[in-house]
Amino acid sequence: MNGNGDRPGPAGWAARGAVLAAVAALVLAVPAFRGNVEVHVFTQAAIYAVIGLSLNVLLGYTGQISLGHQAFVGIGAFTAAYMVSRQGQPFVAGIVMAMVVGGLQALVLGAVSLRVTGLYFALVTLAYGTMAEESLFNIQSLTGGSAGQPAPKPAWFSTDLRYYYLCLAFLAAVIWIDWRLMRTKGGRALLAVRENPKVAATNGVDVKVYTLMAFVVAGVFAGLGGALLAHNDTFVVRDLFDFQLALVFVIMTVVGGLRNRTGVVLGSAFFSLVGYFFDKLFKGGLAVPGLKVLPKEYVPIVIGPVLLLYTLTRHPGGVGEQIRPLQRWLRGGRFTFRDTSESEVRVSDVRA
Amino acid sequence: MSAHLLAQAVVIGVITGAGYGLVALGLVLVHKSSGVFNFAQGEFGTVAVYTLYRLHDRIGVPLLPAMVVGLAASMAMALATERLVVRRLFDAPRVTLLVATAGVALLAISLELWLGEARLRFIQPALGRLDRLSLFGVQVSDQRILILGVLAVLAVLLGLFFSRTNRGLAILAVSQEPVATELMGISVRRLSSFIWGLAGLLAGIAGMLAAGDARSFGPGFMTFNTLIPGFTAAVLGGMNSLPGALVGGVVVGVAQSLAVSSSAFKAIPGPGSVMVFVLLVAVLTVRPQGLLGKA
Amino acid sequence: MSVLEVQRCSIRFGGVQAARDVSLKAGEWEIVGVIGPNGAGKTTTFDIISGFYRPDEGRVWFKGRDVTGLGVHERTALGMGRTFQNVGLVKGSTVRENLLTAQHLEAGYCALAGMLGLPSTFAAERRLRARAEALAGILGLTELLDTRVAGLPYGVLKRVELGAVLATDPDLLLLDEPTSGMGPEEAHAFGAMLLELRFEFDLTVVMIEHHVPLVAQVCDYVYCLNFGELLAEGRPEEVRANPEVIRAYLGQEAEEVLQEGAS
Repeated sequence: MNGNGDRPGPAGWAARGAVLAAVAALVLAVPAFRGNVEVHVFTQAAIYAVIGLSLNVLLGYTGQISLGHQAFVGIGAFTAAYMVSRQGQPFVAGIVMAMVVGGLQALVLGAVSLRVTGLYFALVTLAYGTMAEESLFNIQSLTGGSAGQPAPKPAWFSTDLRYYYLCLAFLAAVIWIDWRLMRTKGGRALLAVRENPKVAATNGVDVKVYTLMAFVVAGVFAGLGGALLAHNDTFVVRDLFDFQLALVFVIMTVVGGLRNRTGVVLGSAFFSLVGYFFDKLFKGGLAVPGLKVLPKEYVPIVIGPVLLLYTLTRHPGGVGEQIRPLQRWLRGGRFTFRDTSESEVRVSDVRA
Repeated sequence: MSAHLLAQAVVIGVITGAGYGLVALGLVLVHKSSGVFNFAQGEFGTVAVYTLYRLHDRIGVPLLPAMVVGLAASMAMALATERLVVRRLFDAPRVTLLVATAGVALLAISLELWLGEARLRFIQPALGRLDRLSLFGVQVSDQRILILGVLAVLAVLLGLFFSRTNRGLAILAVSQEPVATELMGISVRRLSSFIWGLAGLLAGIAGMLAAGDARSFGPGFMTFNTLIPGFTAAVLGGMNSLPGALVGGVVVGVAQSLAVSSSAFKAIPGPGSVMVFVLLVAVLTVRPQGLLGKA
Repeated sequence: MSVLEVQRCSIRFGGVQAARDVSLKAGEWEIVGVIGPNGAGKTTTFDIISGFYRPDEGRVWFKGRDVTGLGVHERTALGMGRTFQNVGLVKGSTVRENLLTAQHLEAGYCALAGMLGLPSTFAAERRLRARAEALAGILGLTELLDTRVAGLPYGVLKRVELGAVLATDPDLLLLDEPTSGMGPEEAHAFGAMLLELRFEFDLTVVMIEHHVPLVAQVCDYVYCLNFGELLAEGRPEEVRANPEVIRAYLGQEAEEVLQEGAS
């Protein structure tokens, strides 16, 4: 950091470069030296980031609540698994079908959202998620029933480490598309539709079309996430996609910080990794005096709601808001906690 | 479907529908007074049952005091939710509150998994005879008659409360015109606590009756089994109509039961939840104000 | 041929006849005023013209084309621009972002191309940004380009909104109380700017206004509405002196007082 003028000097840029290099090293290099089990967990973190970004398109950019997002993901997972193990299709075909199916069913829900708004639509998404859980995911041929459906990793990326880099590549692609979306007319249209549909319309935005577009994009990304998840576990079981998971997805996106790409990625990764870190700290669970031992499986759903409520009531901008000073610094600004442009981040600013 | 099967399905539907109606009553109560969709309503009930089980089946406290404590637990949870969550988000968009109450529900479920019984538990029903009545071959136990009776009484009491008592009218006033009501000297905060406490009580009753009828319970069982049907019932009846909650409950229960026993649905897994989903979407697109609501 | 023609539009909301048989016309480069007391149906008429409501009866013609059945965004595509009483902007975004959003139809690429980040979209975005900066320059908003709209003072918001509506490249400007909240000098300056802009940007303007001097200053023709109906129309001086109009605004006795005082 420098004291004179607005632009950082060479030392300033070097410092910023070092930080970015450290992050890159962490994400790219560290997993290469860890065992398969750990890499598997890191991969899941990357996949959760994809899912978080997909939910953020709906929740953050378009202001639509999705409490049934686990259904989008689950359908993608089962589609990919089905394509690969039951239809004998290659990995790529499974991924593509998962995205198509994800987009299509999101489109249907999007059509419903045009007629049913706000709170009532949130209800519909919850009911949809439950219906998927109890009905769709019980279709034997698609989901293999209680035994689940196998989803072996693709030939070229059959090791955990290679698959991890593959998923990172997908995540990078999703981040690219999300970035370009928000820097072009599509994303601007979504933000306008979210905040003030009348103004959006007078600016020439076809509100219906763009709402549907948001759903399709979210559905495609969620389907992708589901497919990647399936192959990561090499097996998909329907019990995974329950109400708790739906809420965890919402929580990780909200706590991450709506409309904040980095925040959402961090929040999603956190919720995916928290059980793993917890296990490292408290092998076999945390022994709470007077209470039963807390196993690592329950950690995300115990601290999740607490973090959610804390975020909603105290810091609606979530993690993304908190790291904004750091982001500004990295782009060449000064490191300051004072926000020069006003922040008025309202969570779930949905047209109710 | 034979007439006998049909009648059976209807009877079962009315009974489960009564349970949904009870849940819907609590949902409508909260929505009517504050516009909030309380996604934690189910868990208020689950908590009551967990408390009752702990005290009665594990520690050996006699039934009646254990039930009272159970109801107190659900009311306490409701009041805590109101205090710590709803009040803090008083001015926030209603959807934020919805997400927050969903978070409360998840927290309850996670604690039930962790600290309570993580698996389905089987219990003895509170009241005696399982075969009090037999309608079309469906056993109507004392427990089931109790559910219907409690529902009817509660509905009438609540209806009277809102239309006759000062406090009830005050609640309605607050929901429509909070600032003016406050200016007239009515404490909005105290009313809010009252409403949520009442919702907690209703949920506790619903939970205990449901567990007693099914003779089992598990983590999140009220949310998983009754929250969405309850909301569908409330929407069907009109989100602000208390009698609507009852009517809606019965309609949802019967529709679901018919779907489950109908041979037309044999090919579709989970026909009950499909039916409820279809009902919900149908009502919201065709007649959003519900059967008894005003346009 | 008039740019805008509203033919006998009527609309009813529940029990209220918000507009009845309203007709008005605006020719090329004309500045037409719409006046009337509060609740007269002026904004409702604007909502019908811009497409937020479909009239129960009557038609709306724009540039010789019947647009009565078209949606709001379609009318914008044809060249209709509209401002709102409570300032129609995306308040959570910056001034620059608002000016960019308003150029939605001028972007030259489709949303999908934008999302994928195709090379042509980068050049297109640069062009849009340059245009936004030019507009900001004209309206004196350059320093505020990266400020969030939400905190800005009302008068500035109005300017931003004007910039946004100009960014849609309109042929017709529907301004809903553009000078509300402005003092007489500001309003006069706004009027002068409007007179310039109309030729510079090739605009026809229809504006709802309460500022009597402004109406006299800029309007070529005035329509007065009351209770959803057309009360009077004509040149500003004629309408201003019309006793019906005076009565509508001020009431019966005031008219007599004015008649006594005037000479």
